[in-house]
Amino acid sequence: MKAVFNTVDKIKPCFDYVDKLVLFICKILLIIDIVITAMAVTGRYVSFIPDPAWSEEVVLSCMAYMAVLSASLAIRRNSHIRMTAFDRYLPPKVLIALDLIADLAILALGLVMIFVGWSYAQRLGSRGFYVSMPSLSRFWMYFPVPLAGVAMVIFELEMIYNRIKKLVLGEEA
Amino acid sequence: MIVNSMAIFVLLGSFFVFILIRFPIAYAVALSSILCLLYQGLPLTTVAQQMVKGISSFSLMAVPFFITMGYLMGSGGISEKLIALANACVGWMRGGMAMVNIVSSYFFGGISGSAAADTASLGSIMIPMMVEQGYDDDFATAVTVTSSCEGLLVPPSHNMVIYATTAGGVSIGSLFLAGYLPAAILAGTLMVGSYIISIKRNYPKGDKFNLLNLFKQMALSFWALAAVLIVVVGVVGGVFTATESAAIAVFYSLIVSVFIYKGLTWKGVWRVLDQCVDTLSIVLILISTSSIFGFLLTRLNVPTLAAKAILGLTDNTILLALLLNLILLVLGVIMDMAPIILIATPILLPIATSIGISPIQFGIMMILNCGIGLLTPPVGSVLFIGSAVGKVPIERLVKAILPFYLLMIVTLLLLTFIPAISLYLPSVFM
Repeated sequence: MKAVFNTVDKIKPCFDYVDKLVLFICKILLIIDIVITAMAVTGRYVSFIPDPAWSEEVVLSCMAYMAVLSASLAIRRNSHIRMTAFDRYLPPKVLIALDLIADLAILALGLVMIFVGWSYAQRLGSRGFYVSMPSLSRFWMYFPVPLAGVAMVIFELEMIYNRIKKLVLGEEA
Repeated sequence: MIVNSMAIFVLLGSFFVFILIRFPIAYAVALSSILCLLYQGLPLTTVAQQMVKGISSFSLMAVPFFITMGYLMGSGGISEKLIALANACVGWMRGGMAMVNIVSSYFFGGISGSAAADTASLGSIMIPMMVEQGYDDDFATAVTVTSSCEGLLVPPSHNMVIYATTAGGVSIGSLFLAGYLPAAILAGTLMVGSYIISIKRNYPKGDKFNLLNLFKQMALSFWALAAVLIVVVGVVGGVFTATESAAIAVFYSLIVSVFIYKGLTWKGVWRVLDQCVDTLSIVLILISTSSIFGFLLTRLNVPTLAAKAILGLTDNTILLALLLNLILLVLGVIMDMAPIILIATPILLPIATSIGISPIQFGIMMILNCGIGLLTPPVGSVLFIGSAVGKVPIERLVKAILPFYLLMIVTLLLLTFIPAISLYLPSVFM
């Protein structure tokens, strides 16, 4: 069994790479949000700085992408807020089993978000456009939901694997 | 009014089961909402629609910006300057370092808006300093963690933005102003408590008061404190919205931290963004998924039903106000701050307003209640950070905090029964 885990562990660098990439994208999105908002407000008072009409919609879309992508990072880092009040009263194996159940449920949620989100984004995308950018489909406004689903599924698969490994190998994992 | 009891049971029952079995709250909210949607035969596309709607609020953009501003300032070497300023103000008193700790938190809170950041940042400097001067380590840590709650009330606070958006129609500017006096009263009561303990334990006094030194420290801290001025004056004066002011304040913090105080390099700034994303990864998705939950709560008339049920218990407004505080305190003990604000606001705010508590006053009450929750086991994150920074075991720390809990409850009761504490400044300036 250990050999199987050792073989699968070789994929870990791929997850690390995705993690780094997602973190990088989130940081860039945050910077874009700050720059555009600051530019828009300064542009209101300083004539030579542009105050584009699309600023608000772009900023909100960037925030939506950042919110969902960063949330998938929190899955991998196990940093999402959860109730840990009774942890000390539960045996470690029960805790891992509960975490595993939660991970499976989140994986299911991720799948729902992929399929439902994709169908909604496509349907709405075919109907409307950004108000300030008539050439841009509203598909991109709702695309963060299926995208979040994909990121969640990727990191959840790794988490589930890690939990199973911990359950099987115990402290060795 | 049609009451769909079973759907409410599915929504709330599954939510409580999920959080009890340790599901991350952000996803427990989404999953219970999906179960409720399925039960009601509603389309699951509501999930996508509400998630995007929840996060697509320009006011909410202030949350990531304020968090970024706090991290930039916190990492930019302002802690020492604010401590020096507080020392010049109150260091001369008996138990001077405890007073300095409390006043520093007031200043620092305005910049970070986070009790955890306050405890980690100020605590790592103040606790060793206090211990070196003869203060007990548990007392030093207790003062640090309890005073950190001032930061939640002193504007700008991203939790206030979350509350204002969740409550709907609450002015962020008014809420910012409403936080100043309650935070000052909290600081005052903590100072009184610390003073009494300091006399009993014969803790030392600091250097004599020196007006010249006070002016010097004010000048040194000016650039840091000006960030708060930009935000508060900008918002209250109608120059810009909270979100716009936050974006400007981020740029300002960057300039102060990198070029004026030189506490951060560009590499450091990039690393600070890591911390920002870490925090945002928890907060933003919670806001997004809570939107589905909020939609269902409203659709199922839960706020109205909860108001009816609680108002049916008694018509005594004092008891009802106490009951609201009790509910929030209990929630604060078992849950973190952002989920409570997002989930409890739509349910409890109508009850508060029906007994004459204004949404602004209720927001301040809620934030202080949640702040107390951050200091209580088993999930008090600030308590754990304090314990780690001060190297004091949780059991001993909780014992040392006991008198401070009492002082915080006294402050909470003052805020609950004297609305003017929260509403005076907004009534003057807004």
